[in-house]
Amino acid sequence: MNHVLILCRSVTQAQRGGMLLSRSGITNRIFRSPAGLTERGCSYAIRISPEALRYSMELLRRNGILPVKVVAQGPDGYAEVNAP
Amino acid sequence: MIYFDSAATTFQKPAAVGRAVSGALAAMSSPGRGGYPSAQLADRTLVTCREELAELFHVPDPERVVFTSNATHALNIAIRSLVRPGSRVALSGYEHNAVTRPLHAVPGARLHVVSAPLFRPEEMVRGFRRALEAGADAAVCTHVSNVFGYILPVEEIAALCRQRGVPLIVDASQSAGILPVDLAAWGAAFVAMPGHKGLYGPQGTGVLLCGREAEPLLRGGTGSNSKEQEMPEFLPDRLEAGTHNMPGVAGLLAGVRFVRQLGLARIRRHEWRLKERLLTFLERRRDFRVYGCHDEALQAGVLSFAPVEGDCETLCAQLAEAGFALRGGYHCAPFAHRTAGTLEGGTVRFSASAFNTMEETAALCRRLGQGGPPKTAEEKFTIS
Repeated sequence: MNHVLILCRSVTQAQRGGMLLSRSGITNRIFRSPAGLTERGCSYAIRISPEALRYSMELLRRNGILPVKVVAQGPDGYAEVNAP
Repeated sequence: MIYFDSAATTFQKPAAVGRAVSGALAAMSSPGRGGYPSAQLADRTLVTCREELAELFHVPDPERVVFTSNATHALNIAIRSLVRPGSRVALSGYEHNAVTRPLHAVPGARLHVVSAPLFRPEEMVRGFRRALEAGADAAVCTHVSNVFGYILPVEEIAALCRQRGVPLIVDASQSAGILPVDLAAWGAAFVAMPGHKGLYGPQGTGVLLCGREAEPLLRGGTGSNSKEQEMPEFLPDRLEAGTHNMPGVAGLLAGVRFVRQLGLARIRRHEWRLKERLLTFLERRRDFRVYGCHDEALQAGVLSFAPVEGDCETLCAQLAEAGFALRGGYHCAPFAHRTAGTLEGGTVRFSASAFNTMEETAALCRRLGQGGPPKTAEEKFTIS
């Protein structure tokens, strides 16, 4: 199933973001970012459906959670997308 | 045992705290280190505790709530972040060794100690104004004296510091969970507090509220930016190297919820009434000196007193034998005893919590009223 990963700088930001999205009815899952997606080492990501991306980004930014990168799953793996 | 040493640690905890500690031991692993359920439960507990502390203490961003192992650890981070060799520091004459020893260790730090008398807040404010006018790179003020329960005029001192652009560290060790503590309104650089006193968490927990950037005291793994050798530049990771005390944080979260449910004003009023009961009793007796004040705005539920004859430690030992836990001596605060004129023999400290009752306080009064002045340490320990 296709999905989008919102990469966060810390587990605190990822968990805060995930809890925020859950409270707003957006299904999500927190997990460690796949190796290769981050230049600086370990990080955490929020996984959501592509349809929820725009509203999720709006909610996260409004609450001071600034993602490091957004990637979408495609046929050849993950590719960075412009965050809406 | 009737426990009246809550200024050291609140010994009686809400039942939910014990359950949370046990639950964490059973179900939580290291936060920020894995994607499996036990790590994620720890992650969520940490974040939830940060959020609830941020709400209680008016921290605009929960990521500026940093977990430490106690208030001393938090104060050491704050002092290391602000005080450099040769810095000039204004501080109250009621500071704990958790403040004064780290300051003493900074080479060439020049301390301006504001030694205003007990329960005279206007003199304390005037003293801080003079100290800041003389030039200060940082200021440190305890919110409530751990020896005398004296509530210092932190709001006014914070306003002076804001006017002069001097970063302020507030030691909220005795006020967190009892009085309003407001990082945003004070504009403080840092507020430090333990988790195991007025917040009813387990020992080994502390909190640093960060109003500005901080320097790490410890360096190590954070579960973030792992390829880099510099500590992350962002909070809380920058100040939280190593594995968190998850049973402690889970217990602290339960304690914070207990405090929020009861309400600060109710807890404060209860402890103050118990202190008033003992103060009123001691004021009528000639065999005790007592350092109290009947103004609720100036004293919390901590009261110091001393026998006119005999010594404090012997009296505490006698009280312990009779089933009362109070702390005698200098309470790790020689500056406070020097300021109040009690450095010679120290004091006996009564400090209540939400779990003490008026009946317990009355029982202490009855015990203190028995048999005249206590014997001296020499008489007590002479072997015949």
